[in-house]
Amino acid sequence: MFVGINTPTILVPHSIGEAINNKKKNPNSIFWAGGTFIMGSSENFAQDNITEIISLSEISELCRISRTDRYLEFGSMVPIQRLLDKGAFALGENTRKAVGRIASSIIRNQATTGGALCANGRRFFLSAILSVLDAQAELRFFAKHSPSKWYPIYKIYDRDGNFIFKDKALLTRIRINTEYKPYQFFRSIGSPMRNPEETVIFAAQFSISQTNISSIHICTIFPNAGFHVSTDFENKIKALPLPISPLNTMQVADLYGKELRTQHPKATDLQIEKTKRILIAILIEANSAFLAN
Amino acid sequence: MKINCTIDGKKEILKVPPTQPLSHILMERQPSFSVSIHCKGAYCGNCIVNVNGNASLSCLVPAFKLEGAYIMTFEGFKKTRFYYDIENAYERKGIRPCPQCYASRTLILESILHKIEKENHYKVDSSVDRYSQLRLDKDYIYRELSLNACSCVNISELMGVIEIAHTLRSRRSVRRY
Repeated sequence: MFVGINTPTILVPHSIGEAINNKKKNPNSIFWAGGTFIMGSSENFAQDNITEIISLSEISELCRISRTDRYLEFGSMVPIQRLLDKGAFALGENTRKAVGRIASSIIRNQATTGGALCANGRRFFLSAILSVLDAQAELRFFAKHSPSKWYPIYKIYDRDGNFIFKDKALLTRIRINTEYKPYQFFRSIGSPMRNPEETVIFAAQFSISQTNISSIHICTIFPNAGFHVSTDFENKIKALPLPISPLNTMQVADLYGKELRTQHPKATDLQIEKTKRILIAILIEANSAFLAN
Repeated sequence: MKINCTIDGKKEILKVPPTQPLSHILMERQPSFSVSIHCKGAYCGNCIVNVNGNASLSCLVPAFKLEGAYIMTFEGFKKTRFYYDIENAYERKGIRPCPQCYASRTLILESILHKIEKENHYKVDSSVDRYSQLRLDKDYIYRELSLNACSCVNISELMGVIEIAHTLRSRRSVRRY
């Protein structure tokens, strides 16, 4: 299978500038992070037009993790397992558990954070977690006069979940604000690699102020069909008084289902139904948290 | 592309295309019992080998990442004393995975046992005993074991194998000191 197809040249740059120069020289070259997604999908891998692979593993700037009193900052080549081991205290318990639910540690040792965020055409659990946590990504653009720029994670994807800056920029660093909201819910049902058509990834973070849900962030991912963040819907939930009645809960879930169906036509009925059920479960948990206080 | 690496303790120079998966390289090098199928990266979990001390799916590791790597296949692992704890635990529990997934399941069990031992090493003087530590990590163990998609063995039975193997190993380390 692999002998006989073109054998690409492997470039191993030692700095970000060198990697970007390599990419500029050959726009058909691809960046190689952990390789778990590229090697895992043969249709991506055996592309005849790939003549060069730029391996990012030797760029030390991309492998660092640092922490200030407000932020946890890590390079895009940090393996997910290393983020879990080294950044455990900064991540907070819920986030740490959620990151620990990404595949198994055997995959997490190899998969990198940048690779998980930039994989072409498929979104993973990490994108939802970081999106809800208000994380930001630093993008280093290839264009001559464009400097690097920080973007919120939810702004680097289009509605279908594609990485907007593919072939325009290199994701170099990710920064997470370590001041978390008290209520966090991260759910991933199914496997985005084995059966993406049935998988739903859902993340939510909010706090409760007096009788309302405040500062809520919701992110829904259908691995091969869409990335959904809706501030309109978040505002609708904020307007609901707590405790939310069972009727209102069902109405809100139906509304969300309709919104998902119109914006992500590729999503299957099963995926939308699963998302509605997760949302209902989370609203019920919000009710019980409110009544317990 | 020429790649220098060590496979099961033997230094080798491989002449392979840079993007050829490790599972292919091992299959071509010597048809072995452990890596006999290539799922083309479908995450079947049947091609696990140990690369630089970490269990890895060999179908996801390209050749160009193997420069200077220490690779241990199941055949190499079978020669170590750690294998006998797991083999013994299978026998005591009365289960045996099918020949297709036996090698990779055993290597997954080894990586889990290694992780548990490592965590206990850092918690020597804590009040948490080994068995409650095992119970605490149940979710983690389930997730690790579910990497292998073969349904020949129940995961809860494999949990029993881990507990027995862990007991055997900890007894041996007590005797040693």
